[in-house]
Amino acid sequence: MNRFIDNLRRQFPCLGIPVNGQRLAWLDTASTALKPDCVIDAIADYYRCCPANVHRGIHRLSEMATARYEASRQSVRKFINATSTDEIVFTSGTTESINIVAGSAGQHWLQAGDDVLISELEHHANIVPWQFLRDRLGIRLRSIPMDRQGDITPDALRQQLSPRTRLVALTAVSNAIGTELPLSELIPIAHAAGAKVLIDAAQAAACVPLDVQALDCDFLAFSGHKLFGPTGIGVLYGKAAWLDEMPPFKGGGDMIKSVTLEHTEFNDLPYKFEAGSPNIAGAIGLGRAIEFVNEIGFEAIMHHENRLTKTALQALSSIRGVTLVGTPTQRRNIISFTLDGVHPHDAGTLLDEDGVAIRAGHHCAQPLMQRFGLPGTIRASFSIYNNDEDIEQLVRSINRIIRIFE
Amino acid sequence: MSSATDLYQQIILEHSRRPLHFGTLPDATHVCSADNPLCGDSFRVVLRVDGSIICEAAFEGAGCAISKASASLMCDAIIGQSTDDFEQRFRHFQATVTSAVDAPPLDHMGPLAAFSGLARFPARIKCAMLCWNAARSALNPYPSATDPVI
Repeated sequence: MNRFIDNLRRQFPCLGIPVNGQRLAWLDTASTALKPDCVIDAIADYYRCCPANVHRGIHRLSEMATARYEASRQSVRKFINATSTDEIVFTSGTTESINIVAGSAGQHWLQAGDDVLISELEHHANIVPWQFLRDRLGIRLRSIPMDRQGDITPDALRQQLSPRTRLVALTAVSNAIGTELPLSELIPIAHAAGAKVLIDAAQAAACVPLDVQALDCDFLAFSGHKLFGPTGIGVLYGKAAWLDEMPPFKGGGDMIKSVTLEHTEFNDLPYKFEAGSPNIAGAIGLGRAIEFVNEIGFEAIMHHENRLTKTALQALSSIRGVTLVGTPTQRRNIISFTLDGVHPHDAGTLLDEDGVAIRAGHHCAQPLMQRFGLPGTIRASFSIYNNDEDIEQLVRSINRIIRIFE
Repeated sequence: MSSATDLYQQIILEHSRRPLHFGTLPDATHVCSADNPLCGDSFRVVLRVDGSIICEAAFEGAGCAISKASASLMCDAIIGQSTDDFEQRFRHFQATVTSAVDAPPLDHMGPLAAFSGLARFPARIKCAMLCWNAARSALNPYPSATDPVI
């Protein structure tokens, strides 16, 4: 396994560049994953060989660009086991994907007095669009409380459901404390109450296999950049029947069949939701990133990340002054903690000096931080390219910070 | 200053642990809150100004070592100064923490010189300026459009 990881590490050029004169310990994958050569090359290759627009294909280069772009859509479809590429909409990221559902489906299906239910673990991207909708339509936005460990239980969901709950929007994995939600239990409960379900899989996409048919979620959103792909590209999966029913979110080129000055005939799925020239290079990069993940396989990814997370949990727990934030039943590759007497941002600056990149702050999950009564935490997250040396570097640096602040 | 470790000198650590002028003023004439949504730092700066003299200054709230120490040292530095002096010190301190090259002579900055070299940590400049900006807003709630704001 070590040799396998060493080989993988060599595919990430960023890991070979010292930071502040130190080897880089990238423990900020939950913020964004590093990019392997193959993804960088796929993006560069598009710009070098066929930097043409898609779906305008009279000439050869546009045909090539379109073929690559649509091949990526096919890769995404297989990656999440959707039935058809009609159900795969390219967006700028998870945030835009959720905004499309809130802005289009929300407007279409919801009316004043209806409930949208989220959880206390949500990222701002799965809170703010629903607040917009609440202010626009007069819906009620309610949240499922987490328990003391940081779990969202089926009972907690049941207690918040009402006859007016039309939509339940949940994260698959908390970006702030690492909780993996028991979606296979939660989704049927929401469906039984007559609600549709949106899953924010931004954090989950790179660490657990996703199967939209097995989950039976109605919508699923994720980003390319947390999946070893580029920024500015993401995916909205929606059941074809729902996407078909929903009005388009943005108007412009490519989302139309015909336009007169008075009227527009909208394009078929998924193009109805892809107005304007898309992020072609981004989609191609995402497609390559998915192939990269497939080449490694989730079995190896999960095995490695679980082991690293367990090692780091043990090491951090044994340091006096470290307090873990959230002790979820099922934790993925994320550990949030605080250091007694040290503000997370001060720790972040000093960790950076030692070449350790972590995230310090509220992790775009302020309601969750408020629930813990904290301004923020230090968050370390692990990926396939991390190794034991990274954890040792983290622990050494934390011990040094404790000495500075003693 | 060359490293982050140098930044966390004893003086900054001391003032963050046991800040001076921490609290409120019952007879404050000027109040402004200071929030950094990025990191959750949240302070309230209060001043008692008599004529053009800042007679008292205090702050309360929570934040990182840099923002707290900066607020503590600021209050200590501006008490007894005129509002014109404050403006001068504000500009000097701002130049000190944002200057990538050598900052102007710091002799009369006293302990505030501990923040020189902060420009190497762009993400932290806001922390050091947080309560200074609040005090300035309190004194001058309608700054002209040309005033630099960091």
